[in-house]
Amino acid sequence: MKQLKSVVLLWGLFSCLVARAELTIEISVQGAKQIPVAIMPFAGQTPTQQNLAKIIGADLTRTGLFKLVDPAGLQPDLKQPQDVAFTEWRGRGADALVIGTLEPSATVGRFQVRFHLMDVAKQARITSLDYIIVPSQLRPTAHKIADVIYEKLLGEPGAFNTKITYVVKQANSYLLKVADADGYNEQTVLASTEPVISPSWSPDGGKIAYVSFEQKKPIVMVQSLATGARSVIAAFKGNNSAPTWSPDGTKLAVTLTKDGGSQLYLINAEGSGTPTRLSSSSGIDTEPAFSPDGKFVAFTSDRGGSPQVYRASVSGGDVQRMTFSGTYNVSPRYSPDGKNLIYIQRNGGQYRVVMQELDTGQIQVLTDTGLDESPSFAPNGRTILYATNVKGRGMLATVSHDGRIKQRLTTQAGDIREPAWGPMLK
Amino acid sequence: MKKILLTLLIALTVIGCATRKPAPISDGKKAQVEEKSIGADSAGGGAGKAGAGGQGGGGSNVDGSADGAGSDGIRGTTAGAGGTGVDGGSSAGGAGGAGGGVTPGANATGNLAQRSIYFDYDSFSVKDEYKPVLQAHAKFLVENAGAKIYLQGHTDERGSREYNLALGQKRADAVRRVMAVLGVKESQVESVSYGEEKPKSAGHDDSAYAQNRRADIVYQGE
Repeated sequence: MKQLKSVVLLWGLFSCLVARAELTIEISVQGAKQIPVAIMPFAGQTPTQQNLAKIIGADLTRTGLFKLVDPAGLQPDLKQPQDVAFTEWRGRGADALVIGTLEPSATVGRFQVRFHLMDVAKQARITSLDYIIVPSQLRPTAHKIADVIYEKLLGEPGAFNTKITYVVKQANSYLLKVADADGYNEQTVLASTEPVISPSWSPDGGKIAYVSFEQKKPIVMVQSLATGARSVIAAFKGNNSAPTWSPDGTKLAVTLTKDGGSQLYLINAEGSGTPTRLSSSSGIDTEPAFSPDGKFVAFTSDRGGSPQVYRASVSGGDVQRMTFSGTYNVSPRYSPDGKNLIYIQRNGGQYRVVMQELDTGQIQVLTDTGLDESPSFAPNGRTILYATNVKGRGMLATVSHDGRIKQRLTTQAGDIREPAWGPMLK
Repeated sequence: MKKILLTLLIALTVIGCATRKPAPISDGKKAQVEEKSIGADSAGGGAGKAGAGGQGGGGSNVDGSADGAGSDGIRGTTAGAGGTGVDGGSSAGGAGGAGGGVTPGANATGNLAQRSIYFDYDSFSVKDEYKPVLQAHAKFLVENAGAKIYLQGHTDERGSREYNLALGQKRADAVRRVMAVLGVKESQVESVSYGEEKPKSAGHDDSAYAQNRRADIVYQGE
């Protein structure tokens, strides 16, 4: 029997309490093992501050891999690792325990956050860390702590301290948004009366390339998140679209139609110089995606009659077909370790996210939604973010790389589409 | 309708608020994700209305050199061209183009007033029934060397947005080739695509999809 659990969390906009444009996250978990963790409220935390324990708990819960154990009533004044009454926490059902403090630091205006991660079963301390921060860093610090807990308990890096971008369509506006991976801190990066599609993060997380239709046709622009400054990267005759950054951040692969049909080109990330042609076919070549080592570009092409995923070396040539099952395989993305490829496959009128193991060619359908688009990996490769559509309304969803843990993200505030998960933040 | 207003209201509140209180984009760095608005809302509304009312054909065109007016011109034109059949005065001779481009103007009739070529599912071939429409526009372009058009390809909403952009381009290119055969100079035509971004029908069924698989003829300066 499949075990099906549903948890509903509310995403709010913490920076903006007036606007209650909350995203609702619905999580379903099928048969995943969950580690029971107790997270004590951080001692010294005032009610007006961002609640560290709550943010950490929400991060861990969203993965579907952790189960929160209520610490209420057990050792309420617990601050120090040496004071942990392990047998009592064991009795409460916790395998791991997080305790911590939040105190003003010696420097005015700064705080010290300290936490200890305890292994309840082994009655030992796993790790302790300190952070000196300004108040505005409370949320990111909570995400960093969640990343540490995730990595220590699961042996692989977390992706909590990351950003996502997406486009919201509201009435006649297209809003390019950036938010924390947990949906907080949503900010509008660009508001346009014309469509915006295909946002792509620079590898350092500082810029977003996207396609804007503001000049009556698709052009590629790059916008700095720090300054908001925008520059036109490709506005050649015809279409300019599908930007994606090379792993070293120096180049963008784009689709241009300046020489005829939709073909792939490499262009300097600052927009200087002449584009170099990457592909050459009589059909459509589009949706480029770099392999993590930067040596290959996977892309969608209908050169064989139906849209399939191919790859070419970045020096051009050496083109190989990568997908063989079905008649519609599009929007490829490599996993961060380069071992898997995700793409959208149409099967029986349903468009779903599938993952293909590159060594074996083995394919797994990851989603049960039917109009999926724009898949992208979390930088730890554990989760895939994608857009889907339910009853004509765009929403975002995530699925774990094994297909077992699914989330749907909806909002009252309009139609959401074109998501992309950002890189790991330093 | 209420829902749209509500969401717009929420959007405005969010934007306003985000502007007042920038939040950290990442720890360490102060956030300055600026929200940059393109085009004035009021201009957008006006242009859209004109198009939908079927008067957006071209007579009173303002060239969209700047911001919202231009881009919304597209929307207006597309909506106006949706077979509402602007009728009136004479033919190609009355070329308008107040704002820069030479266009057939609002007085165009018959085939010259038709701006959309529809395609079958997964098809890029221009059906014979549209030949007269293309001939009329080709004639106008040949007779008015200063006139320039965008051929805008469109698709239905199913599948990848980027792949649909390329599919729409194939449709626009197919129309461009017909125009070339009819003697239109390459410099007068730019084929581009909107993919699935500008559906003519907002529906999600086959009849809506059929409306959306099209190439639109848009005169520059409209």
